[in-house]
Amino acid sequence: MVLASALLATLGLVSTASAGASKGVELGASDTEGVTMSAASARGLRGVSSYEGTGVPSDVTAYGAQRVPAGHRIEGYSSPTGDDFGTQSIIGADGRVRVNPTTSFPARATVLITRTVSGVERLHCTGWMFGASLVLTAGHCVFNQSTGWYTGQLRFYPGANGTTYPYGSCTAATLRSNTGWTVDGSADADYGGASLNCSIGNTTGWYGAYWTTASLNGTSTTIQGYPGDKSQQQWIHSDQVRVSNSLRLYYDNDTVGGNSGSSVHTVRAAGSSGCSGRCSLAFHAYGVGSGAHNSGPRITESRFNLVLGWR
Amino acid sequence: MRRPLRMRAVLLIGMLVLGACGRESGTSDQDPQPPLTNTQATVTGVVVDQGGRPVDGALVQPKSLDSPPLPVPELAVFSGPDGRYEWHLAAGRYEFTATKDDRTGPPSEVTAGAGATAQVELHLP
Repeated sequence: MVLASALLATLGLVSTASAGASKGVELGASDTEGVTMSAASARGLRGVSSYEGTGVPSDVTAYGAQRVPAGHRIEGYSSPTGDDFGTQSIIGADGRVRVNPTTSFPARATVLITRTVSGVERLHCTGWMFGASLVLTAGHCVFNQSTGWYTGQLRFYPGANGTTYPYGSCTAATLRSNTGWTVDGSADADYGGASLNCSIGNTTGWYGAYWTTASLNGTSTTIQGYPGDKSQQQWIHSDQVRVSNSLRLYYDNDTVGGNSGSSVHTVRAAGSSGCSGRCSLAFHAYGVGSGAHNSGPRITESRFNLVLGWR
Repeated sequence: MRRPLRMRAVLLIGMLVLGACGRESGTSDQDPQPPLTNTQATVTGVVVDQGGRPVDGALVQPKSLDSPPLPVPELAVFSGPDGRYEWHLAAGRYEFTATKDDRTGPPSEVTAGAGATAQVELHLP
């Protein structure tokens, strides 16, 4: 695909400019700031900035969300000690820290995803708001190659905090992914999302995102989400990109089952090109594999355009 | 004059076909269901306590024992009210553990083949 694009561009048959931006979305200018240029390739960077939202609403139903009473029971693991229980995706000592409260940004734009099976609702995955009504997550959180889409089984709780749900919950109008995951089953393409039946993102805000063809090695990474060993609490850990492949990023952030779908994001100063604020680089999806790092599909130009079109 | 244009058109078509290969097109649950595959391994079983009773709500976690280790999807998978759990994974060798409250059971090893279902009973102290 890269070869094809390059050849087409050389022939002057297509534009190399990014396409597919949603109405009202302002793309950062393509540039090469902070990127080493080579004679052979001019590298690009493009993105959208995060939006911090308007804070805790007096009534979540004004955004189409459902109120969730404190103490609403989501079945799941509870750890009196909170100790590491031996999962290999905690790399070294467990460095995770609880996020509490969860009503500041980006905690409130970080989404607990539950799945209900046979009438029992349990913690399933994490997602991140990427628009007023769009949550992004891992592909395997919305589609399973053996059983299909999780249609009608998922519920989304932005900023859930243990047994309190300051932004209520929403359900999915449409589950989304890409054929690289649903047809090819490629771990490199394991990303997806859900268009919600609410516009709660207007109050929670949403993460930004950007793509670059430059190496991201050494870029700081933060993952905050809902690990399965922490009773629907939000936990955070920071590290850096250890290996950046063209379709996948590898990092040593401590994660546990349930963190799938978290934003792997970095913080960029106001005015940064492409994206400023909380800027997603990848979709967290996998615990330790080859190379002894955790990993997730990298946001590339085509993926950025695709998910932007889901807004 | 016509030949270069024809060659250019052929090249364009070829490039578009090439470009389509492996392209990640958006898809949703509103589209026709893609064919489900049988390439994953399924690991299922029951989590039981010391008395052999099924345990509800235990977190079941796999760890790859292959070298190099296979990446494991970071889903939260819990046992149901009947103690049953189900994981879909890449074929390989894994160690499964069940954890609930402050109790973690002994690891159980399993080799899971593509398209096959392996049964593993997990124990909690």
